[in-house]
Amino acid sequence: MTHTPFLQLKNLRYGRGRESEIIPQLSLSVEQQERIGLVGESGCGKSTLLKLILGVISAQSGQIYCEGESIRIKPWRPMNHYRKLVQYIPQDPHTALPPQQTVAKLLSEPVKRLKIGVLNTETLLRAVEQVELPHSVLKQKASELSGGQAQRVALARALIIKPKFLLADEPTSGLDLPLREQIKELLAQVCKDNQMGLLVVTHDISMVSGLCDRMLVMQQGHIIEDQLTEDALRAPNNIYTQRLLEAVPTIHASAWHSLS
Amino acid sequence: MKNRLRHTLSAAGWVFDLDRSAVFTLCSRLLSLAGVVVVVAMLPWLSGQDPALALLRARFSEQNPTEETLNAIRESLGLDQGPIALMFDWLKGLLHGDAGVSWVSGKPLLADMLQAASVSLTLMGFALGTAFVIALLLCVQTIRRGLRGQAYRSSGILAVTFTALPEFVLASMLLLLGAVWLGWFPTYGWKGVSYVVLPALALAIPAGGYLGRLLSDNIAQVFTEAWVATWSVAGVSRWHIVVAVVRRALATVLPMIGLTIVSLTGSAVAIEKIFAIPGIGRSTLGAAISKDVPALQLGILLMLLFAFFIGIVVNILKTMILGRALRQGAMPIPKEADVIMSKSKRLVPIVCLLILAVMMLAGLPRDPYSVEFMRLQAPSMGLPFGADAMGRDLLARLAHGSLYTCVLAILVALACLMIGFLIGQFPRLMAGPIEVANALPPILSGLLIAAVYGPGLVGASLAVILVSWAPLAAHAAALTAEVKARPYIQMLPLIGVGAVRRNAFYVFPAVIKPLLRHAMLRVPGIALTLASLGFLGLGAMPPSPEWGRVLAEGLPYIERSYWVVLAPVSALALLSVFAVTAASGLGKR
Repeated sequence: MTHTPFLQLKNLRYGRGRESEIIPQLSLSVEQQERIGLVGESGCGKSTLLKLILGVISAQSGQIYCEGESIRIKPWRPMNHYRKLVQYIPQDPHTALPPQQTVAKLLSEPVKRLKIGVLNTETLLRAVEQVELPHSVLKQKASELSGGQAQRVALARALIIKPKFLLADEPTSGLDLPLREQIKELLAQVCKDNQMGLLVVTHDISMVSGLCDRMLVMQQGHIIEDQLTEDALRAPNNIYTQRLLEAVPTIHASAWHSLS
Repeated sequence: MKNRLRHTLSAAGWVFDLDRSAVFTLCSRLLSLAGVVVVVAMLPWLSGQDPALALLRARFSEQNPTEETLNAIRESLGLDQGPIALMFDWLKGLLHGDAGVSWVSGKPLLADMLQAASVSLTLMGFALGTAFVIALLLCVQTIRRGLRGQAYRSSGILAVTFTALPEFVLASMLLLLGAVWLGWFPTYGWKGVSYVVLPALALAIPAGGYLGRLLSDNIAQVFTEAWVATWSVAGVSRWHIVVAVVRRALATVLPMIGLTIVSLTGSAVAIEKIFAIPGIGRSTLGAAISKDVPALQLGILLMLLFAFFIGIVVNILKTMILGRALRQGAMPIPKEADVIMSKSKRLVPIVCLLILAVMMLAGLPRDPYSVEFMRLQAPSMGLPFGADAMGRDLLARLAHGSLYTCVLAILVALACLMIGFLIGQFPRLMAGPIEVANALPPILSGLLIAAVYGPGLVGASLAVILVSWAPLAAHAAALTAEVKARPYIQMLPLIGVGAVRRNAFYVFPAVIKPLLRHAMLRVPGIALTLASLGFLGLGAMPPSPEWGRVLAEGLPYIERSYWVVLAPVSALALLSVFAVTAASGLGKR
């Protein structure tokens, strides 16, 4: 019996306009419960790759397989089975949640639309508990939430679908430093609790090192680094990755001493 | 090599994409224009009434309408061939310089109409010249301040409201002031230069004021752009900077200039009526009211041709001024000029509304229809606004008129909102109709509708709807595009929300509120348009006390008793001040 990975991308090509393609050709396979960090400079195609996997845009050519089945991506075509497996949390939760809806309403929408189990108060309460929010938040409108709260609500909305794989597009870039830590820990926690895989796009190397077992580096639409996180951080295959790692600001102990 | 080839191919694909969309829009435009021409060509058939009967009545009022004579007339007009043949006959005739004969006088139309058109063009020339002078005068101050590095925004609220008066109201005011009270100019006619002054001013002040304000705001805006500072630091002469700034500002305003000139053709109809100028507007209006369909057809066609010609000229000018930037799609979106109001100026709309409300409350208990007073009785304590030419209470008439003008205007605005929203969902397909409707002056559509249904309140409302949906549709299209681009809408498929549910539960609620506000802001403007149609005799019928109607009924007596004009003009002026100030005040929020 051959092994089927959870998610498999084969020769995806995406690009339009007079610019050359954003993603000329890309293949990738992802295992169950694998936690992957994807880094690269702005405009290298990370977010496009994410959207391709999410199926909100469709590739010009290439195939996506999920649990061995080919997924035919047509934006705005119901693909409920795939939606239940792969979910997403946004970069800026404030623009990614309908501002006029209450948290209760926006959490129940996917349950109703994707027909996931029974919808009752219990389900909603558990959803907000899981992301460590108070019950009172259910009555609030999305526009009234703080950045950290909104990101937790976005996470709760993804988790209520009980996906097997979560995609996160720079989930902490809009947040304060302490909040980033919290969200990072929360992500680690929910991945463990739900036996869920994760692909996180980030500029934050500490997020990759703390959260992910595998690290991808993208440059101009190509994956140029694909290793276990430890190996990639210790011995990057690629000069570009090395530069990227060097660019991460770290505070050396010696510097601290000389300051104080 | 391969990569390069692919690059070229994709670039070609992009250009093709762009071209296709441009062709699409062009087709939409041409089709809608052709549509209007077809409607005009089919007017005799569309008007539904038996033209033979109308013709017989008009020409031989003595003769009894026997079936034989009617058939003979039908045959001579070619009416028995059906609408399509009629249309082609008419269009073929036009190509040979034959525009048919008047149903009323039986004379060939073309020569008379061209004569009338030349009168109108003369008037338009004077009006445009004056308008540009006014616009330039309004900009001088902005440029001087801009060169000193000060940002300068719109002129005072007085100027704004003055330019917001509809032409027919302004013309009545000018007539009252310049001809009746001061006696400087003749009241009506077309015999020499002194006859041109008042009508040209009535056309030029609103148009020039509007364009001047728009241009001045754009110039102020351009002066704040970074390159102006760079240029002056680099020692570029002031003259060069001014030329560059004006050129840049002019380019954004050009389409609005085109629209304003086109809308002048509509306004000219009212002006020609007021000052009894034998121009094309007045002839066409007369034809519409007497149901002389061939004359109406020719008049409308000539006005459309003029509008089309202006559109082309403006486009050519635009390409000449900023060809390259235009081709590269690097043009900024023109900004609507809005009035920045200080606190005290915020009171203006409230005061206007209060005065109108007091007038309504005072007048509603009184009787607007019965003849209780002397003809043209002067105002007194018991009769604050005086009596009209039939001896009816003017206060009562205005109050009752305001009531149903308001209701009707709100209904029309709601209808426009619905049409606008639906059409706004297909922005590319409807680009042509939106443009045509935007450019079509309501008076022209009023003439068309009057020809088909006969003058009346329903027809007038239809005519206003026919042109007023366009700005709402454009707004709806922009709003919908903006809402659909929001991340939370884009990501909706992820939580299983389909296209239908997305539109109904996510896009619609986000779009409808600003759209409703926009529609409500248009209510006073719509009321004014309805009044202008009433004024021209294309809307409300006597004895209805509709404001435009009341003004039109008073106008012949302006020299003897000014109050029959003063009262409705003041009411309409208050309404227009309210329309403008409320729109800019509320629009800010």
